[in-house]
Amino acid sequence: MKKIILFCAAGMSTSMLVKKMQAAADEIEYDCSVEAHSISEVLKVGQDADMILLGPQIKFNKKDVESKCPGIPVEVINMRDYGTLNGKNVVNHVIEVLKNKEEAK
Amino acid sequence: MKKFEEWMEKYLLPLANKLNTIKGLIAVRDSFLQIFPLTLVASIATMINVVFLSPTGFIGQYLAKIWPNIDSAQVLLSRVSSGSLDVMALFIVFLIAKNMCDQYRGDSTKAGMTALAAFFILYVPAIDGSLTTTYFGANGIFVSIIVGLLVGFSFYQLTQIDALKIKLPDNVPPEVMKSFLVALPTGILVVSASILSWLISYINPDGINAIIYSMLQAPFAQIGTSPITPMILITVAVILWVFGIHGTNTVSPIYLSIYSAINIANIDYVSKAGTAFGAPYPYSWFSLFENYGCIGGTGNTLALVCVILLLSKRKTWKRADYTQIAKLSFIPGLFCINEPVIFGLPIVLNPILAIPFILSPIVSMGLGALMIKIGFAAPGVLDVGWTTPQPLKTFLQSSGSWGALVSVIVVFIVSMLIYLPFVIMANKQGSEETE
Repeated sequence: MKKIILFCAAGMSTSMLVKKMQAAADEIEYDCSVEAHSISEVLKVGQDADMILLGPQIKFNKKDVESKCPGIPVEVINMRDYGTLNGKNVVNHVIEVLKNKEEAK
Repeated sequence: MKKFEEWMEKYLLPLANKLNTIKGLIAVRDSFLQIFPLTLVASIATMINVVFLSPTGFIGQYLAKIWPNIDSAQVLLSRVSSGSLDVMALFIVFLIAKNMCDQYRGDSTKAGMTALAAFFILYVPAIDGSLTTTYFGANGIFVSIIVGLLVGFSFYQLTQIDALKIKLPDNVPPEVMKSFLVALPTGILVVSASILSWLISYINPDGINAIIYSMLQAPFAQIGTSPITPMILITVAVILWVFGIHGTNTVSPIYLSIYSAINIANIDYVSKAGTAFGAPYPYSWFSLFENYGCIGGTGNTLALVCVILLLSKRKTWKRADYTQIAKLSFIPGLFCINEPVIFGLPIVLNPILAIPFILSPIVSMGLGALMIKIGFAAPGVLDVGWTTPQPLKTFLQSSGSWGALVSVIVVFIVSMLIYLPFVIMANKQGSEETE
């Protein structure tokens, strides 16, 4: 099972997207868990994720998160997908990134 | 627009990143976020005493007719502040040192303990066995921030020096070993604090708290009482948002450093005075922004959502995309979450909607300050949680001020009027594009 963790400022707005993503993943039977957390919890919860997604409003934290969670792909969620809460697009993007990563191995 | 984006990538992002990676600022910010549950409980206990259990309170005046001695029930909650507001500096000194050390992944709990020890060592000496509580609360916060940062940082640095690690045989249990590893750094810091305390006693017998308080209080009071400070902060924050950066979060280290002690002083005032009128810092960032600049999220975007929903009923309405986002954003907006509006419409890099988005909170917070100034609204200084729907939030935060409630509604209507012409413009532009 893949563990996807979303971070935003307080973990509030990303939690709306979490629901939509989980629903989209369940629909295509992609085995994953999706969680939302506040960016201040990166050190605590980030390290055992398979993939980390950042809300576009905190994209400036990307480098910092990458250095705190080495080896884990960190991506900023597409602004439009985030605003329209398009869980499907985000899940598809995650699948693609993780697939590329495994192929690279 | 392309150039704008390049400019942002080049200058704004690194700046925002810089501000959010300064370890000292992060430690201060996280500590005040972590202390929030206690601030919330203290605020709500104060609010209940003022609104419900006071014979002059909004609800209390009616309850007093049934039960004349209603204020005698206040005693049930009045001690809540003894464990929260009145001892805030003690929590803060521990948390800041802990959060500071955590960022280096050091032994942070012990760093926090050492900072608390240093705080008491530097504290006003006891007279006849009793310790004054003057600097346990809001008055002692400056010192607790300074001590927390210094101890948290130096504790970690000292634990990294090999010469200071006490070596024990390998068969000693790891937890015991861990305690010995930090024994010398703890000792060095505690003894240094003690020597420092002795030195300071020659300058001022009341110690570092009295010195720092008189030194920093004046400039901070100046910054903290002026409505200009929140205006500058909100302008920076909304401009950052227009570029897609979480503005309020980015400026939070700044406003938390300036206003944390002020907020606690304000809540403390309400709990003692029984009203929010006359609070010492009526134009704090919290009072102006949380009540008037953040209705439905930064930029009063709930007003924008309502304008769109109203206009969408008209025949000339062409922006089905806006209607969809507005419908999606309405419920989250009630709870002060507006990312769907900001990224969905979007407001980000949208030359039309960016203008009212920047204007509306500035005008609103100015109006709010005016309402407080003329004594119509009590400043909303209690913290009942930022996701509480408006205008209930301000009503509770101002300890039940009708004027404050009316002011929020007025400000909301003004915000709608600010957004209206720009939404009409966006609609016109949208319909030209589709034709």
